[in-house]
Amino acid sequence: MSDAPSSQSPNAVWLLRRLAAYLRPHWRWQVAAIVATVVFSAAILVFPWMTKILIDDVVGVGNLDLLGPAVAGIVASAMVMAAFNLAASYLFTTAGEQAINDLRTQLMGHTLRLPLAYFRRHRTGEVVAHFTTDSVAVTGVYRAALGAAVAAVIELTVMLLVIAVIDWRFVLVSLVIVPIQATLPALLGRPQRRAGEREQSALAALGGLATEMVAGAREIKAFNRQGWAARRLAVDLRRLFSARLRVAALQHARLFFDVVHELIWVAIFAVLAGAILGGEIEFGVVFALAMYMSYFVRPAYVLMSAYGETQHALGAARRLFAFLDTPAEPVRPEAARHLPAIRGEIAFESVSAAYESGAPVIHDVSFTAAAGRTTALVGPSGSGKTTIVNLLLRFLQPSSGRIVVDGRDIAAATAGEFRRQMGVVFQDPVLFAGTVADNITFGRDHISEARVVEAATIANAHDFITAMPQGYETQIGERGLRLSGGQAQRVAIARAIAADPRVLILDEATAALDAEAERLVRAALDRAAEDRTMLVIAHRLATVRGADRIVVLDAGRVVDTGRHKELYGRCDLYRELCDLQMTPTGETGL
Amino acid sequence: MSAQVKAATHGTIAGVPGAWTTFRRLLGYARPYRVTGGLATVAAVGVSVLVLARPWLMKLLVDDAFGAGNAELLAPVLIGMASLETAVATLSYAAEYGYARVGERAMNDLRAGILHHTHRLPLTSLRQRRTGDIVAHFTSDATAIGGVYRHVFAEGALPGLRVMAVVAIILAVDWRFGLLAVSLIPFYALLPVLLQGRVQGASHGVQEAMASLSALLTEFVGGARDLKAFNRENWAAGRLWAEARQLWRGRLRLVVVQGVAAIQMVVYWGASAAIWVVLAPQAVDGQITVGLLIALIFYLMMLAEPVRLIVNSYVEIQTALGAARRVFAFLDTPEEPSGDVAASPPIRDGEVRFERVDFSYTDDQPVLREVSFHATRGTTLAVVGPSGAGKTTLINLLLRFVDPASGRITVDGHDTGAFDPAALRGSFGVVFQDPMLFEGTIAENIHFGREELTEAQVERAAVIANAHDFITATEHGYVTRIGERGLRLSGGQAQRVAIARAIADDPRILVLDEATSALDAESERLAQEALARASQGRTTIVIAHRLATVRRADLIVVLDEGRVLDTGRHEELYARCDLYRRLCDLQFVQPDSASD
Repeated sequence: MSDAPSSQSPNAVWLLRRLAAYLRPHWRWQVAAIVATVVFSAAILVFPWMTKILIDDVVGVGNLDLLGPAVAGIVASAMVMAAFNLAASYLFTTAGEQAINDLRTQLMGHTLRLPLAYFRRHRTGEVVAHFTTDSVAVTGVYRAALGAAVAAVIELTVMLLVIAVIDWRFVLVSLVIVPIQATLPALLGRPQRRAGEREQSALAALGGLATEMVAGAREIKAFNRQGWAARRLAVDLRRLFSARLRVAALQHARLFFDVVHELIWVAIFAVLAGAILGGEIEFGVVFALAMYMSYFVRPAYVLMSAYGETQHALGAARRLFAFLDTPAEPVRPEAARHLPAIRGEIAFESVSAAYESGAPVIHDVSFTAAAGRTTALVGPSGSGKTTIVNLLLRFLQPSSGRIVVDGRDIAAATAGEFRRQMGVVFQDPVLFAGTVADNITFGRDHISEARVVEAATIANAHDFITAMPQGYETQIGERGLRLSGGQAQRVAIARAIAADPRVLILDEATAALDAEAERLVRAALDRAAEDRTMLVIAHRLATVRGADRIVVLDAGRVVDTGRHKELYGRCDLYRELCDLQMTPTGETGL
Repeated sequence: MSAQVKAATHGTIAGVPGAWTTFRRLLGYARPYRVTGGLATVAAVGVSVLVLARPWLMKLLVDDAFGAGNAELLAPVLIGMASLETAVATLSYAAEYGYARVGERAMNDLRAGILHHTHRLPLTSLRQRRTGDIVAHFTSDATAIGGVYRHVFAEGALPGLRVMAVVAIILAVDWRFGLLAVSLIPFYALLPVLLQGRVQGASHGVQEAMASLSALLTEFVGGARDLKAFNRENWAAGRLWAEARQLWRGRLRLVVVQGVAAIQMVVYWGASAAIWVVLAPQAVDGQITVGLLIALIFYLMMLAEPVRLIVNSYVEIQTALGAARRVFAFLDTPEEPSGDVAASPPIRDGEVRFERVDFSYTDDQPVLREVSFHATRGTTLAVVGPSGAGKTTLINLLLRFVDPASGRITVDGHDTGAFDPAALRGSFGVVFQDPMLFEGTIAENIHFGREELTEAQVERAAVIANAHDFITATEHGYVTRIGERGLRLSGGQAQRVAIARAIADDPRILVLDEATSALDAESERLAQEALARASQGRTTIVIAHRLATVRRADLIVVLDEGRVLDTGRHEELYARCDLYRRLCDLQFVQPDSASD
């Protein structure tokens, strides 16, 4: 669960008001839905009375003239019921889905504007749940609290009136029976929901275990651990078994509530037996009365379950709003001006930065990356290299000092506008489900097909792409072809240079590759570097040896800057880093 | 409905087992639980019989108690009605619970069988399938199949019997009413038949829309860094919006179909209107009593529910059988041959010999040709070669994941073909290039469920594998959880845990496929040390990707296009073998020289 905006969780009224605000633009649909429900409820009342007429007046008295009208009444009311039932659910759904769609749209905008740090602290599944389960649960408020409950109150009132007309004493009886009947099933609501959750988590655990056991089949066979795998499965299966049985047990417990319903019939006949035998009340009236009393169950139950559903929905709403209220990246800072095309001279001026609540990660870092040149950042792990990239991409704000591009403080432009002019290749680039071409254009409409091919050619990717069955139109990702690490890396390079950015950032772009793949990627990068400002992070020093300038970092500070030869001569840390990676004997050196 | 049913049972192509064969096989899974199943069926039959008495009691109440003014009859009839309903509810509950128990137990057996089969499949056959498809056999398929016993008996066969019993009772009263009853059945069945598949299709559509929204969102959250770095947030929002719209449409469609299904109400009430039209004049003429009239109406209305259930169960059974066919097709793929465990000779020395081994995955493309080499006891043999030379195939052959087309492989002089594959593998320690670790603690991962291993052995293995120090530096030491829900290990750490796992039970032979990717200098040193220590005192066969490894090897086998090009030690090979020299210079992962 996300952290709430304040230390206290917001109260139900506040949540309901905030939720209702989303429904306001669609209030006409909601009102129409409630009206349809009332018509539907009124139609239900016809059937018992027509049955009474058939029993007492048609058959009892022998008045066959009433047969036609009574039968017609039943058929007509059934049709009205069906039509308005359909209308009501259609209208409720339309209203609710529209409101939820507005909420989801807002969620999307918010999710994508959240600072990157948020996603490190929260699991993906948690964020996804806001869009799926939480959003769906919230519609419950519209359908239940603001819809069905209103209709149910109207329905109950009308029924009580009808019963009062037949025999006012039964109104009193109803007032006792109805709450009992409504509460019984509602009692099951919470345990049922809990059992359902337990079942879902047991199924998810089973899925996770099965995935592991299938994906790890090679190790299990190699180590001959089939028995162990079976034992682990058995543990999960036992959990699933008890969870599912509990769900079944609770679900079918409803059968016993039907008994209560039938017992009410029996009770009514028992109570009124004397009156019937004495001729004080017609048999058909008792019949109709019993039917009405049993009809009570529905709206009463609707009210109770609306209560449960609303509670559930408010829980989800609380999480949703807490999520919506986490601070996002500013859409546009106050003094934002349009960012002119950059040339690519980057300067860090006494920049210090810290990740939230933590100690500072870089201190007083200053360096300049000249336009059109390659600047490398080296240093042991933890020295702050990636933090510098995060600062430059504005994933993180400096706590002091400033970052200047072409003489302008980057804080003055919107993050988006600034990022648009940079190209970046990460160590583990994420490609998205879609075609190879889609991944290179990445939704940037101004990038032509020709440009895509050009970028792929520079990135050393053109040849393997055209060798694939559908070339640039080959689907990649989960449901498509899986690219090797080296191939994905080259597509990521093409993606980074497709828009011809002035600045190209490489964050350990070749670290995860094998030698052959690395050779291809390195060649691609050398080509991509032509007259661009390159900022390269690498722990393989061979990659950076040719850089125009090397910045050596240690524990968040700049230790020295210079070219390879000078640094090797004068900087102890740099020499140490180089020597650690040196071959003891020179025979196989490059 | 037929289109939907076909869709639900896709895969009914020629050669696919029929419904009856599949169902018989499913019954086999329920056989161990036949007592519970039998009791559930008895209870369900009891329900079907008891409900038949319901209208009759109504008739007694109306005609004999109230009509005839017989007050003494009132109490027994009313008590009878109350007990009847209680008994019906109790027995229904017992039946449902019983069927649920049988279904769940049978499906858990099926799931255990699927896992057992998965681990007996040849690795090559397993590789041809997507993990998700097999996982679906455990989850959605098994869940869909589990309900089949209930659907067939409680919702198919028994309601069928109930329909026949009701028709028989009405016929006994008057054959013309019987005709009325029979003519009502198609009306009751019409809407369920028309709509059942559609409701399922619509709710399936909602689930799919939800799943693809989740998938897209998962992708975007996972790739948030890339989206932001390229300023593609709006593009992502547009794609999400399109998916959310699909979901909205799907939900509306479901609501409409469900609403149309509610027209069934019109059919029920219309049927009751028709019954009144036919029966009311008879009652007025005195041909039937009011009580009988009401009883008949009850009987005629009682036909509706079982008819709906039968239609419903038909679709459910088809879905279950479709899932069962998929699962059985998987279970029927041939397993790897198992040998005689008792006949598997013990491995003492760990001498491995390949004798003119040929192998190909497909007929036309040989992967290995006449490969021979000999790893003597306690030495380290390194296999090198460009990618595609057949190095990994050597490991697959040694572990009997595949068998040679010709030639033979011996361990301690015994042909590996004579071993039970499981027994053979048990005497190797294996470290794969991309080792898979499992959910659980670090200790559990090294222990890997081998009960004979003590805690001390686990720790010793970790020390040898150079993993002890980083393990004790984690928050909970050896009981730190790793994997999805726990700590994520770096590549180098995972590799060292895998080495500890491989040597924990002190195998005679260690098989190791080195990682190709670069580690930083420190991790590289730790990994090399670990390897050097782990190979002490046992035969080690290593697919080498690192210069330091081949330097240390006692014998190097150079493999190219499936043939052994040369064998020897590093210095000799570097001097005389061109390919080897090229590999050393270009392809091996090696610390870079800083001096140009």
